[in-house]
Amino acid sequence: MAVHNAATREIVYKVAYHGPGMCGKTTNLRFIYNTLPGRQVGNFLVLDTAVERTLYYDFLPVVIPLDDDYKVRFHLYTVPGQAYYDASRKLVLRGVDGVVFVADSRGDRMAENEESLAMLKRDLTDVGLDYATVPLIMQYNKRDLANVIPADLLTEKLNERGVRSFGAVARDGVGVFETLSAIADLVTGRN
Amino acid sequence: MPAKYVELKTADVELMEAELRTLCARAGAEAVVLVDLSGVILASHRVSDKIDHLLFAALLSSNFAATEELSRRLGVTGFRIMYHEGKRQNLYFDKVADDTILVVLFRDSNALGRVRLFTEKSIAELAKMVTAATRPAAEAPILPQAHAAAAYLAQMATSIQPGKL
Repeated sequence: MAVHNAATREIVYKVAYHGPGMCGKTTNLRFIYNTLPGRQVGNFLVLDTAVERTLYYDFLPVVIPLDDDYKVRFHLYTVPGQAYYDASRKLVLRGVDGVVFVADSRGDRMAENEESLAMLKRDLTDVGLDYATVPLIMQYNKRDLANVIPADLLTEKLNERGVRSFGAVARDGVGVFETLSAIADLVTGRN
Repeated sequence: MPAKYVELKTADVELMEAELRTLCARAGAEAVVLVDLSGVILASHRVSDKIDHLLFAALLSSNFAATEELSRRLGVTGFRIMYHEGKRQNLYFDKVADDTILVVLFRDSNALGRVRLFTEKSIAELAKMVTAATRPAAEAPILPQAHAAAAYLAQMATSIQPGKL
């Protein structure tokens, strides 16, 4: 739910990074956190499990200060990828303004990608949103690994809406800011 | 339920803050905060600067949303109040509207009944204010500041070149 607060001169958007377990959602946020200057990122909250998988969510506020004292915040969340964290995912998707679907490009992960996409559709419906209309960007991550599926095939299998998609190696930052910029364009209505 | 958009004019926030100030005084609370369940503070009174407000709002909203999801799965309707008791300070949550909660921080020297009574009195007024400020996302105006921020990120995406595929 976008919030425009004229009193504090702030505009806030909520963006969720969704995708199967270990696809690189947290890695996207970590690269953003490590790259932007300190005044443009808040504290990075990670609620993970002992095996370093996201249990509840990660939260990273990105703050863009403007010349006229306005601040535009993009609150970035990740959802837990594993199917059994269904309830936690819905908390994060509640009131979301845009979604980045992070797919794992490896061939042996296609079934997990498709299962995660099905969960996204179902979870959005459960929180009163519609997959067909929610602002959405696709990221095909781990493009540097062996046995990756061609991007065209990922698009054919996962991108039925034909939204903008980006290849990425989130660990090295490749494609991370392109993805962030694209979802920012959508939620703000710039493009 | 379509996606929503909240527009708070300065006068709206002043009215909300006045209500929170009154509640804080009547209930003997340390701080009060009005948060929407997407994790954004709409208005607050006396929340310490020592607290990271952004994290505070994200955690409060997900905490309450988790309880709502629990109630849904249990088939229990009408969950709207939540209470966390600490050693010296306590947190009291009450639902204001569909997507908004009010959270009261108070010391253990203060009676929970007093907090509950005055919170209930403020809820109706706050609900009206929140409802008046909320509209479908489709009605959201074009905000040049938001476009400027998105343009800044587009520039970042061009200038940060960690490598190409």
